[in-house]
Amino acid sequence: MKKNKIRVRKIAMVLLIIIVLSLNVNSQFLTDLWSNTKKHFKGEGLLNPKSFFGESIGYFIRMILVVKVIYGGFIPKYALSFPHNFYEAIMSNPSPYDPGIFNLLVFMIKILQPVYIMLILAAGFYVLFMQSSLSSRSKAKNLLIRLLISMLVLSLSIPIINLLLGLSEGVTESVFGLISRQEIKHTLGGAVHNLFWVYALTAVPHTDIGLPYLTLLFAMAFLPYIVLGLRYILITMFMVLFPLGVFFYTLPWLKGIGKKILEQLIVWIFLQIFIALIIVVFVGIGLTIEDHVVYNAKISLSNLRGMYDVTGMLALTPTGIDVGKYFGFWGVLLGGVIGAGVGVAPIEFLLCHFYEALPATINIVYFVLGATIYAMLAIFPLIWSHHLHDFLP
Amino acid sequence: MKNKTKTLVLALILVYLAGALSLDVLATKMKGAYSKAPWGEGFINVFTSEAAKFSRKGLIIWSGSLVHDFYLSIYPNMPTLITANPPMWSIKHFMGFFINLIEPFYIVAIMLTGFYIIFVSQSPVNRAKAKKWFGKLIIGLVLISISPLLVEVLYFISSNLSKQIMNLADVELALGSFKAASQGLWDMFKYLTMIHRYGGVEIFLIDTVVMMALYLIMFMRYIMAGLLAVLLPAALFFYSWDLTRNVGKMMFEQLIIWIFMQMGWAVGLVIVSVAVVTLPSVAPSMPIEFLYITSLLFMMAVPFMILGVMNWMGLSIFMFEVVQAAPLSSGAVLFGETTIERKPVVEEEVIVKPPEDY
Repeated sequence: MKKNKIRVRKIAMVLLIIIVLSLNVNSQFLTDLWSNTKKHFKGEGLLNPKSFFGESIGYFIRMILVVKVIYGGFIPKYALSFPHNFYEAIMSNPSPYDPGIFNLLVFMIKILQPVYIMLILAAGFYVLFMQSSLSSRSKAKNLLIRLLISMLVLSLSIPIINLLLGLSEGVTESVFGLISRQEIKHTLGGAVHNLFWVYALTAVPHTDIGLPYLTLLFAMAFLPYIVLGLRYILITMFMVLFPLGVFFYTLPWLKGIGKKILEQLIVWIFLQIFIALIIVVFVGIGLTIEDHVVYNAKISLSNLRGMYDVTGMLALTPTGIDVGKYFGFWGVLLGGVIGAGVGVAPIEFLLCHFYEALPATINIVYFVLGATIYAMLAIFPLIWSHHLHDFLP
Repeated sequence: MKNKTKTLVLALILVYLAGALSLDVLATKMKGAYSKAPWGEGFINVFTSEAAKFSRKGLIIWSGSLVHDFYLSIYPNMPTLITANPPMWSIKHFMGFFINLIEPFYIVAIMLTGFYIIFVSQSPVNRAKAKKWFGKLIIGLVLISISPLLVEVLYFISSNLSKQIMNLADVELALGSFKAASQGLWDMFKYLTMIHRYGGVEIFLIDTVVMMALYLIMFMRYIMAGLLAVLLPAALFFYSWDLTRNVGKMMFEQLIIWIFMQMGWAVGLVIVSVAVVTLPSVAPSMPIEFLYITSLLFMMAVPFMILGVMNWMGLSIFMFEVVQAAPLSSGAVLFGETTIERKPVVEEEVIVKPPEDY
């Protein structure tokens, strides 16, 4: 028994040595395998990953940016802000009774009061004592009357401005009453979404191709607010300058400046009605252009899902192939398939909500109509303020 | 047994050692063989990496082609878009709003004028004035009431005239020219992308922006024609009062300009058709692609010509000159500085004297 035990131990020792020796061989194999896999993370490898694997990682990052930053963050927060708040944004007007503006107005009126008194005194003095000719006397009298009327207007400047603003607001409100607000919201929101989908399509292969669409998306988000903000600021400014404008308008030699100030105040106040009208008429008649479009081109966005999936596949397939190559031809094939599967799965998993929101197609009519309404919102105020002048006597 | 076991163990050790060594050698050999295999290095590696790059370029061209074809639909749609006007049923609703808003003012004004004529006025001059006003107000009221018809007539005239103009030549030639221009740009983008994937992006931008701008401006005309037609009652109202005459005039002018802009495009199409046919016989050596691109830009310039803001062209020429002249102007500044540095020449007084031995 004892002899047998010794024999078994000896055999075991021999086998152990064999295993250790064979491990040496295996370890060499495993080390090679690992070092080869590791190369992918260092930017070396079989399929020149510097331009391929790295690119695929770039794709991943771009997709995450498009989906998370643009679709998940920028669009709901900024780009869809105007479609959601268009009514409040367009209806908002500065109030002359706002303490800041009110104090400024009162300040301006207070400054002008002594000037008026001086001018009236001077004109009266002139009429009474320094009448050289009949025409100059009548001129002075005329000026006196104008000064008195403008003093009346000046003291009523706050109610007058309030009346103008109220009138504009009332008409704007009834213009908005012509069409359901939900429909306007839907149209404006649709414009933003359509543009985003074209951006998402073009940004996949190359961000530079998508860049103009991203810029347009930014413009869509901010341009209406910029125009409305400009209107708000200009109204505030001209409101404060209103007493000065009235004063200048009274004096014959400063009439030009006064006229400009008063005209600009009126133009920018009533722009509100026309911005509302653009949106309302646009939503009302815009879609009828579809009847005149012979060939309504479409982009099928189901391609987009394919593109994203292929991208994911390409990102991990080289690694799979490189690992699999040690097992011969079938290893390469299997490794490639596993790599592709591992690449696609997280994309499908991560982007499932994105894919659910994906419209199947975008047609040219809706796309251009969306861009047109935003372009008109920016261009019309310019046309309006450029053409409208010299209407005061 | 003992010897036998020893021999066996020894034999086993030797066999396994031999095996292990041979495996080790094999593994090294295999590794070496792999590294020299065609798919590891050399030709195949270059081929696969280039194929990978090319697939990326292919993806760029493919997604670009989707967008290019999307916008290319402007050309088949152009003739109908040029002659398109909003249907009256869609405008009437909005026009009604303005007519309802303005008519009460007119009625009150007419009543007050009538009241003035009958009861208040004393002098015949004032009465005559009031009567004149009365006539004006009635005409204004009638015009406002029939303003939808007026718009319809304007649409009808403009649309039919442009259709007639477009019948003067084969418009398809012009459309073919535009298409060739876009196709030329697209081909350039394609080849540049094949050479280098970032190469053709700017060309793609020009191609799509031009087509998008054409679409945008045609849609804008359609909607502006509708918008200003909706404002026609207000324009007539403003026009009838001295105080707001300028506003009314401006609105009416804009309505006419935007409605009749389609005639400008129709003329543009006809002219391009004629030019495309006649130019090669006049200048056979000129590359026709330039004419294609010029004709496309001409179509974009038409509305600006009609709107009378051609000054932008003068401005752009001026800007171009400034940019072009920048290198020269720096030289000019240097030259100017050197000339300024020079001291002014002091004129010596030259006194012409007669010779001494005169």
